[in-house]
Parts: sequence; C-alpha cells; structure tokens
Amino acid sequence: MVRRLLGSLLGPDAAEQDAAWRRAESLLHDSLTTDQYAAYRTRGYVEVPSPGFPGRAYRIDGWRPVAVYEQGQFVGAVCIRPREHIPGPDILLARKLMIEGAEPEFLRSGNWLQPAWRPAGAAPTLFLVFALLSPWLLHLRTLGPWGILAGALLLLSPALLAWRRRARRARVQHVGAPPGAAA
Amino acid sequence: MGVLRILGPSGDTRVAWDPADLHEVDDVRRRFDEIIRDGYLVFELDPETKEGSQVRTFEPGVRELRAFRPLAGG
Repeated sequence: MVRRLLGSLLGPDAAEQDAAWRRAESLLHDSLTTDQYAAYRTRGYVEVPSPGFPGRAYRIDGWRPVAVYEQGQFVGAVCIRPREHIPGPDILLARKLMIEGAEPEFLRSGNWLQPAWRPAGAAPTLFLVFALLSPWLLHLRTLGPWGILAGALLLLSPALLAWRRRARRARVQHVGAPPGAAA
Repeated sequence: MGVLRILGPSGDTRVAWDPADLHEVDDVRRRFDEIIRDGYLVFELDPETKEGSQVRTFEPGVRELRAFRPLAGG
C-alpha cells in the first residue's frame, strides 16, 4: 500500500533489485573467462589490457571510475557510466566490452580524471620531515651520545624506508610484471 | 544456437535463435536492426577468450552477442 502511494519515491523494489543483480552476475559469469571471473570474485575488479596502447591496462569494476595503469603505474581514471540504471555487474561488462571493442569511443565518451598531485620523489617529504623534527632532534643532544645516535637513526629512517621500497619495487619489476602491468 | 543478451535495468533480456531456422533468424535480425537504430552498442564475444568485438550487422552464425545503451561520461 505504502509502495503504491509513494511510487517512484521509494525506487525499485529491493527484491527486484536483488533479482536483477543475480541475473547480471550470471551474465557476467557467462561473459568472462574462468580466470577473469575468479579475479572478479576475489578482487572485485577485472583487468583488461588496452588493445590500442601497449603497456596500458584498465582495472574495471561496476561502481568506481575505470582505473588506468601504464607499465604498472596508476596514471588516472576514466569516469564513464550507463545513462540508465543497470546492475553493477552489467556496468562492469559494458565497460569491458567497450574497452575491448571500441576503445577510442570509450576514451572519447568518458571523463578523464587525473590523479591528485603528489611530489614526484621522496626528497620533498624528507626535507619536510627534517624541518619538522630538527628542533626536537637538536634537543636530543642533551641526552649524550645515545641521544645523538637515536636522533640520527630517526632522521635517517625515512631515507632507509624509501631505499627499501625502491629496492623492493626494482626486485618485483625484475622478477615479473607487477600486478597492474599489461601483457 | 545463437544468443543475444540485451542489458537493462532489471537484468538482461535473452533472445535466442537457431541459425537453421530462417523464420527465427528473420525475427532476430529485425530485433537486432531495431536496437542498432535505437543507438545500442552490440558486441560479439569470442568463444575462447571472451573478448568483445563491435558488430553493426547481424550474422546468424554468431554464438554470443551482448547489447547495451552507450555509456556516457560520469
């Protein structure tokens, strides 16, 4: 009764939405390879190599903008949506098919989102950390040699972490393509 | 058997045909042309890789087609 009175204010019935979602899940299952569907169930997205741009891959799900990776690095996202409401798994499928079969139209229709600005390297961050900590580090002198040593270690720790991260990244690239890299 | 699945708000609509049945093929061709006129995008799925390729004309021999309204910038 309430539903009949309020009509469209309530939106589609929850049971109808559930049924639509289940159909869309089933269609997605029929439209992906076994590996792709397993990846979707595990990670919530499907990764598709770009047909037109070597080294580029798209990570697609049904709710966020399509993330774009080049050589495994996130470079931006494409915001593209259906004009009418369709269930999330159907959105994923439509995006995937458009990328594979009509990539130029996909890129033309979507809005390109740049990643937020961040410093290109660790140097600005290290400088900032040093500037913020220096009065406190100078104060450690009063604790004697151990204080100076602890201060030096604290001062160097961001550099050590950055060095370790870079070494790990180099090792991953050496062993094989990182998760986001295209074939 | 071929199947065309048209994405919509309450899930997909399924249109199946037997390529040997000319009457059925004609019906599906009419439906196909209708949705193309309405601006739908139609993709054929590769049976092995499941990769999509866009099609604009109906071939009765295809196995799997998916159709949906064009996506737009969000």
